[in-house]
Amino acid sequence: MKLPLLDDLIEEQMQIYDAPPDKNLFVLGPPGSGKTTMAVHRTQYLKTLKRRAVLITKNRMLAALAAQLGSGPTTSTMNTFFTRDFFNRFNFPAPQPVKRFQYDWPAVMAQYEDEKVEPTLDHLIIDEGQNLPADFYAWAVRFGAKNVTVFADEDQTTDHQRASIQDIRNAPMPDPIRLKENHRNTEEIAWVAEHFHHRANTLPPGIIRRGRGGSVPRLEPISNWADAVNLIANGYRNRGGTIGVIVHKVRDAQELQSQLRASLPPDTRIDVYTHESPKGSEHQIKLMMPGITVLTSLAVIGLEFDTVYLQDLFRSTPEKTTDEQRRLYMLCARARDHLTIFNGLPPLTQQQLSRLPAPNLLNR
Amino acid sequence: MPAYPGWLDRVIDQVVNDPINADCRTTANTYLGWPRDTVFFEVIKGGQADFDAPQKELAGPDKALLYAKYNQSRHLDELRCAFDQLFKTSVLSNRPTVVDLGCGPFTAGLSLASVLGPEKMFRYYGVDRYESMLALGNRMAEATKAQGCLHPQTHLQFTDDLSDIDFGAVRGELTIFVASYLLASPTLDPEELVADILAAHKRIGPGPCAVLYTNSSNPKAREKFPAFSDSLIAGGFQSFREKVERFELTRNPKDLHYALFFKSATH
Repeated sequence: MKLPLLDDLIEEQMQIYDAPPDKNLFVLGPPGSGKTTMAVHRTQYLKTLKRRAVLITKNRMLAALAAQLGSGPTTSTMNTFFTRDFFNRFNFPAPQPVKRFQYDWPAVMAQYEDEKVEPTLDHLIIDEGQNLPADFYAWAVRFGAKNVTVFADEDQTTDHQRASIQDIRNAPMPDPIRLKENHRNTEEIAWVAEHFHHRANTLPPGIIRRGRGGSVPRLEPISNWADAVNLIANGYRNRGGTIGVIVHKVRDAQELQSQLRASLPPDTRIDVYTHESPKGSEHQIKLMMPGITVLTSLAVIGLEFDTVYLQDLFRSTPEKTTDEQRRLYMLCARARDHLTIFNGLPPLTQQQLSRLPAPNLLNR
Repeated sequence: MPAYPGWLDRVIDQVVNDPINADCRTTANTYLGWPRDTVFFEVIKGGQADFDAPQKELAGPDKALLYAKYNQSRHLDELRCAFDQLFKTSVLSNRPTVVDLGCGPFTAGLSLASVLGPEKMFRYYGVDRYESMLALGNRMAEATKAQGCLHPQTHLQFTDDLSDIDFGAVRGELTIFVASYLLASPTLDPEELVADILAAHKRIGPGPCAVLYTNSSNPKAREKFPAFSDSLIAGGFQSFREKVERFELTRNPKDLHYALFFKSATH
């Protein structure tokens, strides 16, 4: 009997960054599939071809990280990019009749149509595209740039303004290419994240390319923030690397930062970034340098850390909605090598504990 | 092919050999009271018996046990040899979903467990129309688990209907359907089987898919193969290997008909 090796029949993850520069490209990828890295590489590749390319995303911290990853590709948030384009063309602000950052897209489209605007930018690259408003895509494809590349994962949607795969295709964008592999998480961490992968999800979790890391995620009881600080500080002293601490409230993030500063040497990088942080502060945070970054969960989409301490779990267990389950899936998948989930402030109920991964996956 | 790992011998002894030997009907010339030299043709009918129907003093579960005693070892050797080649490095093919069509006594599950070892997880769905086989398969699976030779995340499930399986949330890893000696069944409709395979794969997810076929080389036993192959190819599979050759890596070498079909992941 002679049979081929199955690995020889399964195609490797395709290269995205050097796809044809003059075509729209739509890429779907689960957590850890390298969407942000590919978005940065594609932006740089297009620049080597002398194309004017801008990388945009919803989250300021992710935009700042993309800039750090690529040694300075042009990055921006969607809001900054769009409002600037509008103002520069028409000399008045984009219409936001109901709420700040909620644009009147039909009015926007009519304004651009009336002025017969043609895009001047060569290429717009969008990362974490699921968290941008659905109506933005028709504008991006028609007026934002001559070509658009979108990286997205509908199953990691965290924002109330959002776009489904179908919304993005309706822009119109081509049929999506699917990234199939998870290069980020150890097996142990991927299993915990996948526990929260909802059956209504459209994209399968990535095939885990890393083996076991030897560190089984842990559920650690904490009674107060001092307990959390002890665990985080010990983890940093023992392992170093990049640590992300994800909490619910802005004031908790600030409290943790001040207690961590008191517990660790003064030259330790201990940053805090929340969705309320002042504009521009994200550029001061060097996420890839060893140190600790305390974030609220709204600010963490697209980021990754060697070690993650996750406090903001209690709000979504038991998962009453698909969105809550997706949030947990996304949060757990931020960790590369080590994951600790805090049981405390407030402590999880018995019902919440029973919904967590089994003890062989999540050590108690 | 290397010898069975110790746990596999222990599982077979515990679930098949010991109960047969300890049965009060078993004598020096019989198993469960049936003459040993006629079991293959008269009781298990070369593997095509009705394993739920009683036969004289034998109940359905007795016939399933005798099937395992007489037929399983060859099928184990063949599938272990196949999986050993298919999963030699098991990087991209990590965490496969295995659907064992006409699973009998957990044969593909035992084979895969012995090749992947306890470090690699897989999902196994055994499908068989006979209750006695599903019960025996379950006992084999439980005994295997008890030996500690399965990855703790490995999932095992038995059912009589492929179309009823709930595969859970969508997955992107490799799926492999095993049709070992299934096409020899006179009642099987190969087009319907392929339609069920395609539907099941769609429910599992957009990952790549392989179909591994083995069978007797007897022309009558493999007369449904062309229709099976044509339907798979019409369903998007490519045929990567099809051959009749002597399978030597077993106690009594015989000719074997085998084939592998493969379908890439969808984008």
